[in-house]
Amino acid sequence: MENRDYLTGLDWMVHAMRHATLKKTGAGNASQLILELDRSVDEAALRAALAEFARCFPPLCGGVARAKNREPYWEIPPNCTPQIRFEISPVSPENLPSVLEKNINAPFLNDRENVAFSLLNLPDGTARLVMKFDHRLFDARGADFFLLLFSRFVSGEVSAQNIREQLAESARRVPPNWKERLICGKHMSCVFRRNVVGAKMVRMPAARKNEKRPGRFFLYELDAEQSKAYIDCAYRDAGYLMFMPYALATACSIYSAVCKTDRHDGSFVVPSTMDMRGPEVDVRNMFFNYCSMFFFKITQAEEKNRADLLATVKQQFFTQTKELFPQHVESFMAVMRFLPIQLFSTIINSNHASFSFGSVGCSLLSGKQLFGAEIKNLTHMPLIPPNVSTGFFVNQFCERINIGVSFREGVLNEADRAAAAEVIKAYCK
Amino acid sequence: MGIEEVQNALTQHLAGLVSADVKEIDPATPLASLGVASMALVELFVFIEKEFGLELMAAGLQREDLESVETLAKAVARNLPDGK
Repeated sequence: MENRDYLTGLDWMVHAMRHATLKKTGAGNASQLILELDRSVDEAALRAALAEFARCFPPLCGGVARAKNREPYWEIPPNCTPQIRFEISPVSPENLPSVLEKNINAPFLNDRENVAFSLLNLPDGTARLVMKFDHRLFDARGADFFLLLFSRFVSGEVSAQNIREQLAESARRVPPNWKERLICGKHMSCVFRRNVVGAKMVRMPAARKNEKRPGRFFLYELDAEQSKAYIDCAYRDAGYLMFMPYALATACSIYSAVCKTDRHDGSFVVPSTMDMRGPEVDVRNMFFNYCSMFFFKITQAEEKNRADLLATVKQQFFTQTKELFPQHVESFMAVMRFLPIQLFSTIINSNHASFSFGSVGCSLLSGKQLFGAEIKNLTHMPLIPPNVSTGFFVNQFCERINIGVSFREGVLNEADRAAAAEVIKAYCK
Repeated sequence: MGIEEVQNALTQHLAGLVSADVKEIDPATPLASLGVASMALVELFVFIEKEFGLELMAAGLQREDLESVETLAKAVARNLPDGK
């Protein structure tokens, strides 16, 4: 009992999103990281290393269960042997985007499979190593750290024994007490009423239709020069170290450019995930979710002018941080853990967003190698829930920035891909 | 309040934000090198408003003011109303 990892409110929300998306699309609430390698790696050695690495982590074969007191926790079957499915296939550069999309849209093999790896070998001798994961087990930075740990394991920097010892020290998570949760729920409802319920929300018409559509992606990998220009502009216009508000402003401008709705006087409502872990990730806080949420509301007048847009994003960021909104979200969601999953996933599935946004920060794998291959870039491909239908995510690798747009089939088209590229270009000036 | 007192208060708070020991934080170290990004910086601004009554988010600080705890402490001290 003492060794159980109880689900926090945010873990429960992620679990509910998985439940809802599984029902609608067959694929759950999953994401994948793609490592761009400058050469392929020894396949047999990689397979053997993954099998040995997996055995260190019993949570890999876990799933959600409820304790007698109704608290949900991560149940690990007794005597389980954790495994990671690993597939290898050749791929042409032309087919790479569609192969990656197909991979993330394919469901896991069963309810206890949470991670799978693929190695895609390209004709020019380079490769992509893909780690697909269920968001119940990892958030974006947790998955990034899992890969970093794997690279250290392969290079001999850490041993299976080291990992098991650190995992045994993992701080078990217990939700806050009832009184605290209820007070937090009251605080949270203020921001939620102000930014969500009270807003006439803009949504793209296609977002409402046929929720069974697969996830699609536009990925923009800025080169070193563009990335430097983008960061310089962010620090000039949003302020030093204010990367996230600048990236969110970019997402708002892209959405504005591709939005096929007569705007009238509606606002963008944007839930934005934020890692609450601080700069350090380690084995003890690698599994499960450490993100919380801000809710931004952008009016049409603010969205038209970059300075106004940045000013309102920064002000709302500051106000919600001051009001401890992300902490209140977490505590409020902790109360929701007692609702039946069917009911809670229905609530989660109602429309609270024009689009979603996530800024992951700098990858921990920047400048690292795997089996002697240099890691040239790392990109994220998270599936976006059908009810939200469009999401933006930004990450950095070494000095490079990747901007991704995740959407459901039919919501955006090739003209939108070009329009988004133009907006990104404008944000580099 | 003097620069040293402001610097000590900022260092102490920052240590919590970046999960570091107070003794490990050199006030001259660039904030970016300590792992400070948008979230931690905004939390630092919230702390400054609560502790010193200064709204730095809107004050238009220059990049040089935000380079390190040392420069930030100087900017806070410079903006403090007389007698505080």
